[in-house]
Amino acid sequence: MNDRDASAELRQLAHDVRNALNGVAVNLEVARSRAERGADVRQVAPFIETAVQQLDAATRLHKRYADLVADFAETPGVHRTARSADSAPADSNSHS
Amino acid sequence: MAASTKARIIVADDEQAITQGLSAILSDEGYDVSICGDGQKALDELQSGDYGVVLADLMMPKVDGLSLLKALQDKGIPTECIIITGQATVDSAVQAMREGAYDYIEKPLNSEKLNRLKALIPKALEKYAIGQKNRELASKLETLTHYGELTGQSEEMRAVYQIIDAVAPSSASVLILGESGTGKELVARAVHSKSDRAKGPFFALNCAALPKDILENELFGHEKGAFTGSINEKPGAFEMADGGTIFLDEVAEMPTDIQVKLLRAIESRTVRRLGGKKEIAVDIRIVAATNMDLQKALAEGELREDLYYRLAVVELFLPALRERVSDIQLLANEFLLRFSRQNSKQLNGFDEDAWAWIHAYHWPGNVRELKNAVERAVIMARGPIVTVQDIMPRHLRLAAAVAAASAPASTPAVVSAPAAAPARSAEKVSHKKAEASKPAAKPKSKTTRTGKR
Repeated sequence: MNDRDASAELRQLAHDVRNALNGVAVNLEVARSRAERGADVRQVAPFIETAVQQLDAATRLHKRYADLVADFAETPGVHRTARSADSAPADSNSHS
Repeated sequence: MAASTKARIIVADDEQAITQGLSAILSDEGYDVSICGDGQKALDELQSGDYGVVLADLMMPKVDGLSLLKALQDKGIPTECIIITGQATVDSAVQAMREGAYDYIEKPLNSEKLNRLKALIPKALEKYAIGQKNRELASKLETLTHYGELTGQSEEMRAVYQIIDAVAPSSASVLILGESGTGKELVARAVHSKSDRAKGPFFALNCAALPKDILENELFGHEKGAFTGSINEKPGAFEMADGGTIFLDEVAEMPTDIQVKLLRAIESRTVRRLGGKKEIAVDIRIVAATNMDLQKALAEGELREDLYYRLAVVELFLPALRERVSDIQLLANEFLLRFSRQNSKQLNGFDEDAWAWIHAYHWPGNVRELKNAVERAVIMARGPIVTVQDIMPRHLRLAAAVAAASAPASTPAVVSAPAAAPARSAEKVSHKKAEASKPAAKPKSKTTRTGKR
């Protein structure tokens, strides 16, 4: 993989991690608000399940992201991409 | 809450986990939610139904959030758009706001943002509801002032609309009477479009505009070799209007020998082309019009009585513009708007003197003359308001100037606009000018007569 491909994949991974974390946040919010209203477990469980799947996806994607950054540790262009893309997933984690 | 009373929302995003979660949140809030996996599907759905709000991700396949917003505006689809955007695309979201998005929510959609979204949606729906109300009112207003392509809210025009409503569904022939420029062809088109023949052709033919031989050819068509130069067969107006309506304008000016053939065609519902041997069956409705004095035309034999009876199953009298003065302002404003757009000009209206002149003038050329006067005024106007100098025809401006020059010394040098206008009535404005100042003869007050005499 060359530097340009690595940068492109990093950007895509950052986007996908953000989306997965959004999936976690939204589905947990459904579960939380329904649980608060005393909803039946059948109305809550599917959203917990989706949140778990999205968290798994985020973890998997983030591992790939971290590996890629490590592989290109000596490449300044890839590092710049990683720094700019990094803020979003970090932000997502801090909010959700 | 009944399903039909729930506000409808579309969630457009390609991330299933997000659309399902958002859908559940909004459904729990009492909304009727539809999910679309891309912008194109959202656009298709929005075109087919009423949705108060669309939540659109900025980054979507096929049609992205910004393109969706633009398409909604281009197609005039009423809805309020809330854009969901990742942090990296806030600039685009700001652009979306400039282009008419109601608001935007920045990802990540954490609890705080989702609460903000829940608070935003009722406000967006309220804005949509106000817009819907305005559109409904505008539509009602449109029906009060317009009927098909006809414009007018006066009692006289309402009576015309009622007759069209009554006569259109029948197959009766209609004879439209009215001065030149009153909109007789528009009435004929309205009769056609309100009838069950609306999907069929509407074929208009001006009987006064063509020499006899050409008129006959236009009406009945010809076979190949019917006359020198007829190298192909040609169907006539009757055949072309088959299944629809034929409009014969200025019918009283048709030569009498063609009137005989016309009468035969109307009675037998068949035509024979020039040079042809076979009768061709036609299914047509006839609407005719004339601006002639019918009694005189009948008395002098210009219009055959038997044809008149065939054409005038229903007579519809279209009033002159001076007989429906309450429509003048509506028409003038409508023409101003139309021609301002056509000429890429920004005109805010007519000044006081222009209005005074417009109302005082007797408009012998009727709506057509008013339309032409406003078009000329729009082209000539130098400022943002149309003045009396812009709208008054040149020959009347000259007449006004002559009157001013010959007036006694004590008379103001500038003749006021209404005084320069040919008067609609002697009571309103004194007669100063020659021919143009004379009020036109009051036509018969009837709007329609039905049945044979």
